[in-house]
Amino acid sequence: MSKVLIFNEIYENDFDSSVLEMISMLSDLNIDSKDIIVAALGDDLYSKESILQNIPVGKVVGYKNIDTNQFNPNILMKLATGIIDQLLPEKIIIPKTSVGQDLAPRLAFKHKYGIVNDCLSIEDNDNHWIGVRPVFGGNYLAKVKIKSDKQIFCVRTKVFDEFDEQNINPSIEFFEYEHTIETNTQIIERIQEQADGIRLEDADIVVAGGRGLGGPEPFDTLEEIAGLLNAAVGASRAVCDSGWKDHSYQIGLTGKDISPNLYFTVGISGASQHMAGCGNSKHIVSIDKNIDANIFKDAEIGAVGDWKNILPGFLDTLKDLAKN
Amino acid sequence: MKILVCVKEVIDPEVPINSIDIDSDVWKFSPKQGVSKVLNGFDENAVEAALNIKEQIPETDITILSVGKDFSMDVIKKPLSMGCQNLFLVKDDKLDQTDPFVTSNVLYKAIQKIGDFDLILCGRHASDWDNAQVPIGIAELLNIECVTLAKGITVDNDEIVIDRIIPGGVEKVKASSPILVTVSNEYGEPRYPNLRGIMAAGKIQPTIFSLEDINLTDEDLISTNEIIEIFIPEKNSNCEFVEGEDEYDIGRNLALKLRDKNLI
Repeated sequence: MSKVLIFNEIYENDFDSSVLEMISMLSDLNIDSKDIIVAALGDDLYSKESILQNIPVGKVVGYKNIDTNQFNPNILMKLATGIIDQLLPEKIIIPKTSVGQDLAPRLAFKHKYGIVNDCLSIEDNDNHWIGVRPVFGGNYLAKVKIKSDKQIFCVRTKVFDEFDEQNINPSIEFFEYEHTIETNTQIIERIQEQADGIRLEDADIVVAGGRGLGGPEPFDTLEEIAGLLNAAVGASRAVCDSGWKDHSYQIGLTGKDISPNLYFTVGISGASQHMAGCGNSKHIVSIDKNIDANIFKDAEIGAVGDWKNILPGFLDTLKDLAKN
Repeated sequence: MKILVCVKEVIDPEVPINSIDIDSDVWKFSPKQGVSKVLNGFDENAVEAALNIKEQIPETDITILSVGKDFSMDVIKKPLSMGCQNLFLVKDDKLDQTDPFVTSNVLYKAIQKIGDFDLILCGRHASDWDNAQVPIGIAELLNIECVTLAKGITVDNDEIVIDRIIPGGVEKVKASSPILVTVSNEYGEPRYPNLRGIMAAGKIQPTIFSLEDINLTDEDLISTNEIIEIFIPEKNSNCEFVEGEDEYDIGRNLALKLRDKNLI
């Protein structure tokens, strides 16, 4: 079995932890972590050797002294291309991070690899890997085989547990980038949204509302519940596209991908596009007027009825519980 | 400014899955009779972005391009009724549910035939196969750069500034032509066609290319992937429903249950 290459972003103080999930996934496919090469992408990697040392694989490679212009995809593309030209890997795994989902198809087209994008898992079928991916907004799953031997799998994050074996340290090889990096795109500014309270992606409990709420006002009640539960507030795409909430609240296929312990929904029907962003929640609890709503197929506890009447009972009881 | 927008007809993503037939011999999806096709929603966002640039720079010319086996004219002409000028279609029986590599090849060859563009816009992905590969494929084949996931695009002389969605915020990307940009739903709701637009669109005849017209060879049509199986994921569906004397009481019992289970 030839070596497998994983691309991984390296930040100021750490590597992106999705690489640990990819190592776990590969170990399920009987790939020993020592047989994995990680291609590191980041600024000035030469000064980050101590970070690279902590990636538990056989080898880590990367370019020495590069300014990626804040992970500009058109620059990362050139770096990744250089690494592929050096190593000629047969199989490439790219975690579906913001950087990875952009990079994977570019590399596939550039280097004539076959690609299965957005895999939930990879199955081994007589030594041929099959990517399993959602299609039609997650209503269906497709098993997809790449015909050629040169294969890229872009794999969704937060599906696999992180590989946690310590005591594996890679050898590290730095490459020199010998050309000037030319691009006609430049990232001039990054603007982080100032979210009030807890970030959706970090919250242990998320309280979310959907189209069924009928307007922006009921979100005040959700905010109040979230305050009592130390939770973050989220919303479905319908809510954000209608302007009831800013798009930074959006959970789903085209919004944020969350995996809280408790996902509490009100008036969300649970279209598969929405579930794509919250399906990894440990417990889903839902209020909706329609007992046949999709959300109840995923929810473990449900309440059927008009949220206008259910939420006051819920909120009053929460306040009582908070007093005791 | 010359803008090209690539669009695709899809099965309406809002219809329930029992409105869709799957042919398991070739794993082809088709809508049941009476179920409508629509323009891919993200492509409408891309059309809206193009139209906003035209409002700012009136001499802008917007061309729409699509490929497929057949088209519903009322769907594929929607961008024209929204205010775009030209429509090019590549139509062939071989273009029935092609894989992203093939689709990119066809679009690439068609763009070469039509001419040069300053800006190519695409939806972030199509809501049927969710691949998000074709726009990037076109850019690679044309050997131009691309910026994905725009929620805003402004043009100032030769400079194009894109607000690109990143985790937790946006980044401003300065780019120069030619560039391909994919547009996300955060861009904002696309406009509805008005009557004048619909009348104008009725008068525009699409230019239809065959595969020969765009010099496409059989090799360009070989798919790289093979679908082994498509299935509906199973769900447990053992939701426990909370009861109560009335709805207020259901809410109360729900809170108590969550506390019981240590979830809150």
